[in-house]
Amino acid sequence: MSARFLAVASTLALGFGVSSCGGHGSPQLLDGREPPPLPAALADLDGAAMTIVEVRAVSGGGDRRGRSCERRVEQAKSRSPIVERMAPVGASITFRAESGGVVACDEIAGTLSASNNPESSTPWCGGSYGRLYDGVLRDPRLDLCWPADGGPLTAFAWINPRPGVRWIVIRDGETRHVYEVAAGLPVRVARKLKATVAESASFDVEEYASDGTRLRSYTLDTKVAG
Amino acid sequence: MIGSISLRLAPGVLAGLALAVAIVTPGARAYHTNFQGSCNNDSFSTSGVTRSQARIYAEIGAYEGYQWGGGCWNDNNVDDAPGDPTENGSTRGEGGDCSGFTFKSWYERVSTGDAGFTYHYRMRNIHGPYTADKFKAANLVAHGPVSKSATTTMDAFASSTHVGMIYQANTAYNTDRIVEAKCEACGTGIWSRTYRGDPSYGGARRFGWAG
Repeated sequence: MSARFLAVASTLALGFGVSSCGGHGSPQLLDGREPPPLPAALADLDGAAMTIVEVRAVSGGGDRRGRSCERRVEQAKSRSPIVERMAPVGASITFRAESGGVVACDEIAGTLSASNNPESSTPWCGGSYGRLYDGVLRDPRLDLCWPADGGPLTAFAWINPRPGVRWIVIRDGETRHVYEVAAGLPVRVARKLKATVAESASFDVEEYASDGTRLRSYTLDTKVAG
Repeated sequence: MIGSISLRLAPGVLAGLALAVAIVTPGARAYHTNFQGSCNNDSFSTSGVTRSQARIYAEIGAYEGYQWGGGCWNDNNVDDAPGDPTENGSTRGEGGDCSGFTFKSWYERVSTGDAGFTYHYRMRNIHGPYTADKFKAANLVAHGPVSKSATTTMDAFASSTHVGMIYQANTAYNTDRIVEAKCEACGTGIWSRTYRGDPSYGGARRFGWAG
């Protein structure tokens, strides 16, 4: 666990307090860690599990994952902090590229593509590049990742956080995964589908303010494009 | 009398003005044509597909327009829904985008574990599960990376943001004629490109051609 992650986690704990029930019974995150406690403002959210967000400086020389993502996408020399997210069903990196768009690299457990390329050191199952129009993505840039075992797909997409939104919550049946907005970047969210074959995905999205007020609830319908 | 004539003419004059504005304003004419409203979901499984057949399929799709996330087109060599906003799949215009055009031209199937061939009718509105990135990086049962030097007709060059198929290989140094869905403004067509010499592009191949 990096010192920077500890700093982020500490900030969450000190700034918002922690919920005693957050994370109980929650699935582990993709890398095996337990979900951090929920912020106090979201303590009453049923079935919620906090995801980890880690914000790192631009192009740190020791940032192996950030570097591998930069190498993967040609326009992708970063010019913003690198935001790495760790959720139960997937992990991702997002940053703003020198070209002005945003770049994502996505990861699941047992990536099919990686398993077919044993010589490849990249952990990523896919990635996306999104153009920004007045600072906003027009398309969530759905990325579908297939596990090597032929199981259900995992869908990744960006959410444009509106002003005043502190947390994005993705509902998935009885569970909710909580993503904190970070570094002024679109929030890369993930959801495991039931299907093993798909070219679209829907996300049930809730947006919350810092005081825990639910600002908006909607379904984001996404389709593979570009 | 003059007043009553004016009143009778007014609707016609207004209609004429509206028509004139529509004609000289491409955006107003083009946006939200709902071309996809006339598309279908027709396809059939097939086998023994050759690169030459795929090339003809792509050739017919050329000049039919570009639609972000789209997947259906006719064969009148006109973009029937030009000028839509970019990266907006809800505009429902004619044509595929780069990855959807490649998916259909390669007779691919939506299941990533299925290397079989499917003929998608031109008017079938399907994009497929792959972004351009998946043509560049993913090594799947139906397609995967190939060295650029080995590429030939109807292989592809793919970057993280674009994919185009080789219509005619090696027409000049590091140059090929590429059939591709390029952008909303430039449409789908066949152009000389230097993707072969561009390090951001890699070679990609559909597996299982019959010849």
